[in-house]
Amino acid sequence: MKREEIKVCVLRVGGTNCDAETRRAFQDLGVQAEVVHVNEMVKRRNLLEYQVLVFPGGFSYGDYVRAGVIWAKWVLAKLGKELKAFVDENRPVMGICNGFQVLVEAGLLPGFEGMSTYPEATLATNVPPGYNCRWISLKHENDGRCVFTSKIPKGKILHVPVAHSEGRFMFAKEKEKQLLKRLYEKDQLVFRYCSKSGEYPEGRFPMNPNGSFHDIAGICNSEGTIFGLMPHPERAFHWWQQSDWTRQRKMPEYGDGRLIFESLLGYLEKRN
Amino acid sequence: MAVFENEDVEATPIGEFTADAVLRIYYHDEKVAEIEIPFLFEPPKMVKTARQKPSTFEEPEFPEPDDLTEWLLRLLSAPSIASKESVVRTYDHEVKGNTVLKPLQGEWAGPNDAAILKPLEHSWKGLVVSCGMNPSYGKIDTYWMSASAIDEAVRNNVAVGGRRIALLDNFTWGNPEKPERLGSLVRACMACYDVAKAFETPFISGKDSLYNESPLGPVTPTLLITALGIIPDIRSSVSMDAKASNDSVYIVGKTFKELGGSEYYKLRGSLGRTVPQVRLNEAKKTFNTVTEATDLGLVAACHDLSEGGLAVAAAEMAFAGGYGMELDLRKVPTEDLDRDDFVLFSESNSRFLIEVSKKAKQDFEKSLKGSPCAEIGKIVKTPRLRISGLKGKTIVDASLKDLLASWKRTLSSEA
Repeated sequence: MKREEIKVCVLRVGGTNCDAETRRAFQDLGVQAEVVHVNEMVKRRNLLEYQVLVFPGGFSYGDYVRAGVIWAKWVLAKLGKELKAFVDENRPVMGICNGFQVLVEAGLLPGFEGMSTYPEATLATNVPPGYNCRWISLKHENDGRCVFTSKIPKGKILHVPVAHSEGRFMFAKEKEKQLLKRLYEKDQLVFRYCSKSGEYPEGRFPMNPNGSFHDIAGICNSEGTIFGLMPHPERAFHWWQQSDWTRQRKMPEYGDGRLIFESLLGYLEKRN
Repeated sequence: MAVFENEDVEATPIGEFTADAVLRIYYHDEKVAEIEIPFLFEPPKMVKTARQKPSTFEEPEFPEPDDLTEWLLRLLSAPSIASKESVVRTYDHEVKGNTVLKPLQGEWAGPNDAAILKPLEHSWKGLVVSCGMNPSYGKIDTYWMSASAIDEAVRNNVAVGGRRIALLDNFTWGNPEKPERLGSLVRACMACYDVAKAFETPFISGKDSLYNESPLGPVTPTLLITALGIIPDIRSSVSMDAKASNDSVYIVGKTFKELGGSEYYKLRGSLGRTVPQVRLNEAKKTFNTVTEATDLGLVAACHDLSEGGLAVAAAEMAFAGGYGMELDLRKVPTEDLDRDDFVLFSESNSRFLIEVSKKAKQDFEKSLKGSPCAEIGKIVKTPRLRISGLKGKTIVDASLKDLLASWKRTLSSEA
């Protein structure tokens, strides 16, 4: 598929606030991207017009109940069939921050064996508690399954910001070892928080900004086509968004977040 | 209405505009209010009494300490100076992906003077947002508190590269029915008028909160100034962190014996009388020359001098960049100052610390010609802040680690 033919849908609802910059990131790479309100999608549009679906960051429905849960249930109720068809065709779905919370609450992630009827994991309130906006380091852990990181070498360290209060990835305590093993076996682990030089913090703040289990920052489903992460790659797309660019003698051309968008488009271009 | 419906926003029509300029409100068909609109725009005028009470505070007297390192560390831990990281991080300062200069700079989260946003996708132009406030000065004189707040907001803006500045005011005051409260409010407003006119920085909006009193008395009269500036090209943004060893450190602006309301006096248990003033013409000239030097690309780092004065600004610049600094107080342009602690901690307005690379030194000095400006030291690799006093003796010698720890300790949520 040619790049300019690729159509990306950035879905939006009340409380979404990262739609514009997410669209901008895609447009910058030469694909068609639009922001569509879910009501508009239900009434007049069809998800299958698009090759990529993105749930962007924000605080949908005011983060009431649990972050992402209301929007997840709403989407399943109103767009469930279309969404299932979209996912069954292995069209890529990405959830960033609040979008990741939505994908987990909707049972699309971790998606060990397709869509689950109940959430198999959760993104709990941060430890230490509270909203935290900061730049962190991530290590790429995926062996090639995830289509969103296909251009990123395993072990590469990326610098991107996080901004959330509910980002602590967890499995049910009694199953956590077993489910972590499955994540590894099926190559579903994508990003872990790490120090600048790549050591795992084992839950220590602030390198791990939310106390997440096994320092998990992002995962994909077993097909590698549904991907969720707490950090914001769209906020680390241009060099001038980086936290320390005023210290660089030579300005880097792009931020690390761009690699994620590039990888996805590379995958789609190869696909028929 | 379709727009509201699409966005899930409940909206109901509740009235219509009429041509007769009268507002009529009904409840279940019964008229409950009728008012002529012009009345709302021309209300009857009130006459109130304002009384101005000159401050009776005295300048404290205490001997000059030999070692000022301890005082600097204590100042860095003072709540007004200490890192506000635990608050700043609870706000999403990256949303929209347009934040070019963050409120906290780099790995050590140094305090940038202003934030810069790049709101336009196809333009390098940026919006510079900064603030200024110092309620301690208002306890002595609200005129100079307001003037200082404007100067601080403007110099913070200028420090990162802003110009064409507009201002917003936020007043928090006691009950203006009381003549003394109103008197101090009038003085604050007079300063707003004088300084905004002189700096050519219009007030474009603001907000006030009056009548803040309890049986224990009024709140401390406080004016927060927010400054909005424009930077023509965000690629020339200047952050406050020291960038490279062997770079020169300049101070721009003159230091006076102005410690009234200062953080140093506060630690000494006094308020004092010598509140910092704003010398309008000199200040404006200083701002303009700093902007010129920034535009010529001669400024590697720039940090404004505010609470805690020169010593605090130097410490922040050093630990934010991970470099040491060596300074000599004998070179600082001063007036009426013969004590190390006063030169270090005076809070005179309109001053900057500027880092300049060897290559840019000559051009920088040329562009600053005619302004009170002096090279007072250099950035060094050794991670220590060393300051020698007016008699050539070392008066401050502290490791970056200790400086940073003191600065972060007070309001930190991290262990």
